[in-house]
Amino acid sequence: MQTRTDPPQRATTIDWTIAVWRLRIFFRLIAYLVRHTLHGKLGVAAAVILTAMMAQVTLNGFLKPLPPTVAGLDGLLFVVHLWLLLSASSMILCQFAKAFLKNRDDDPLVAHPALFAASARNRVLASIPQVGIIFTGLFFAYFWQQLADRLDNLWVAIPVHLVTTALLVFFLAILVGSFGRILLRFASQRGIRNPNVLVNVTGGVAMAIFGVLLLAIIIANDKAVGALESIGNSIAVSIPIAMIPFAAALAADEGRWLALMGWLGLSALLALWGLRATYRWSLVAHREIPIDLASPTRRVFQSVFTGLRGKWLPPGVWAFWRKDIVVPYSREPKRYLFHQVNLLWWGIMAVVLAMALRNRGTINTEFADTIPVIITIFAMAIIAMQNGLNALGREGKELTWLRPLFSGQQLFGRKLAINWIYVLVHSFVYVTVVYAAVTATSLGTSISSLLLYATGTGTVFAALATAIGFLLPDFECGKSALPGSTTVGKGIYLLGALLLIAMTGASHLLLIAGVADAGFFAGMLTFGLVCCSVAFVLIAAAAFRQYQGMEI
Amino acid sequence: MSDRRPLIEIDSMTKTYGDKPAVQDLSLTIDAGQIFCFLGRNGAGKTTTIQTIVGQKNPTDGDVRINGVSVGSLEIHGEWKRLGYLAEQPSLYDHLTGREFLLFLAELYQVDPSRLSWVEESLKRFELESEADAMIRTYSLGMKKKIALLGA
Repeated sequence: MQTRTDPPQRATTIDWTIAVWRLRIFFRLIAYLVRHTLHGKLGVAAAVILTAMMAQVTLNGFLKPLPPTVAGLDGLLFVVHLWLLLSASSMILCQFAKAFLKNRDDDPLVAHPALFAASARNRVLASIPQVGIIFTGLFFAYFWQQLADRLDNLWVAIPVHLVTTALLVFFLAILVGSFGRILLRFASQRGIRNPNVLVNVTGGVAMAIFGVLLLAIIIANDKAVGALESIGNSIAVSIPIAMIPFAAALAADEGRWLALMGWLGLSALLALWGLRATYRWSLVAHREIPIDLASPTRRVFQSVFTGLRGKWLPPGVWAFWRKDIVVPYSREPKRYLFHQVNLLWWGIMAVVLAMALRNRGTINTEFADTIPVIITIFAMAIIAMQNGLNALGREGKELTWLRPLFSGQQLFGRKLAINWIYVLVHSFVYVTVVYAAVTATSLGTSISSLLLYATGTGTVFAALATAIGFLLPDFECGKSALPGSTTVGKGIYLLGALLLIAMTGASHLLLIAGVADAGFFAGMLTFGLVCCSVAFVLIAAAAFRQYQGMEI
Repeated sequence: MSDRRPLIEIDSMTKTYGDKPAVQDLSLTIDAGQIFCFLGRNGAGKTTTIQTIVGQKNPTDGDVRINGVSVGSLEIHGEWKRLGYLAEQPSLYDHLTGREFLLFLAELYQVDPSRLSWVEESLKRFELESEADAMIRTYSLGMKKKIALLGA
């Protein structure tokens, strides 16, 4: 009996297995066609554009007054927009990966293709936070304020602001990425072998573009409203994908649940697409800008190690100061100056733009006065990151020389000390420059508040950056002034820094606008300080534990 | 009978890389002043053992003690300070000059400034004087090894 019943069962099992495998092969074929063929990529692009167009159509209904929302809907809208925010973030990451990482494979560089791609990519990645946060934030305030204000609901408006800002950063990244690709091809055709040329050309062109933009705003002061509005309309038409959050919000607001589910489904697909493209990237540290292409030339340098020691600091602090700060910058002063000029340039431009927007009545006086504070804190975050995240990673294999001498706590203490000194020295310079811009533009930010914010946040940023750099080091990064931490480490720091910047800026705005009193302000800052202290202690403790068991 | 403890004690040390054993149940004792030669086949675990002694690797099992202090304890840094180790492939701060590298280590080891003339004398003795102010990255392998030896 068994011999009669077994063969059909086996046949069913085999058929089922074959069917499953056929299905898997079919889906793999689709995935391959979508990801690796021209028509597949065009299909994805068409789908995204069609989605955006549908959102655009839906938005036509947005221009009418919205019905009053009920309280129960607020929570749902908040969740919806958080989800959309995640989706948009994934898309941004995906586009970053597509635009910059893939250059390794398909750029026609004969010699060191990865080198040029890495150089351009890192340059762009370093510029994106500055350009993106400052300019999209300010332009958003101008172009999108009216549209977003139509959503007469705080819980909807905040995520919409966030998503829209993120998407504007994304489109700016695409523009910069496209320019990068053109630059790489140009370099390939001209036989340019020095990435410094690419870096300088990119930086120069970016500064020139925004310089012209700023000049145009100032010159066309009276005519700026109409001109900028028309630019804003063009941007709104050309980036219809940014309408998805609005469309979803509207669908939820009006109770069109099927449409809402459709938007959520599309967002989920986009999120999956983005995550799939970027998860490998997020797990490893990307290499920093490789500067030395040619064989090093022999040059002679005067020793900066004089044997002098500070009396008030633990032994070794000044030795690390000379090794990590003085030597790299004094040997390559152009690089140091480029960093500083770049940072100060964006700060000054943002202050001037704040003045222009205030004069046009786009933003109120209190908001304009808060911008220099945010700019100063932002500069502190950048400068603390440059010498904090690579606190351990920059040692590389040379850590073998330090390991016998210092425990984790001792080495950490010395690195933290030099980062604090570095950040505090620069805070005075930045405050002076920003205050000069504030005075020239008749903004009302006081030098004492700038100094207080700069030194206070600089101290916190330096501590956090050094701790994260110790916990998540990238030992392949041997350069100073470059964040030598893993991608996760950089992400954690940037996230924490942005939160701190936003919280401090918002507290300052509420205080000077008279919305909150000094007690609230002090409470907010104390809360932030306690949170940062707890995070610092936890990260540092984990880093010490890791250092003790570290193998070189 | 002397009550002095051995300078280096390895006590049933095992070191594995993943599933692959590099050193298994090694025990040995080295006294102060003793010249100890460490021989073995390729892959026998000689380098791993030395790296474990100087703190570059951690023993998977067993213990290593220097002057009676276990390498797993926080007090070990005081003992490691007194050891010198020249690796096969020396890792040096190649953005420093040879002179700066030695002065940097001297500062970390808190060498008295009055004794820093030792650096100049050593550079001269090792025939590195003319290259002492050039960056280490421009050195040949032999010169790098000389600087590493001086550093150790």
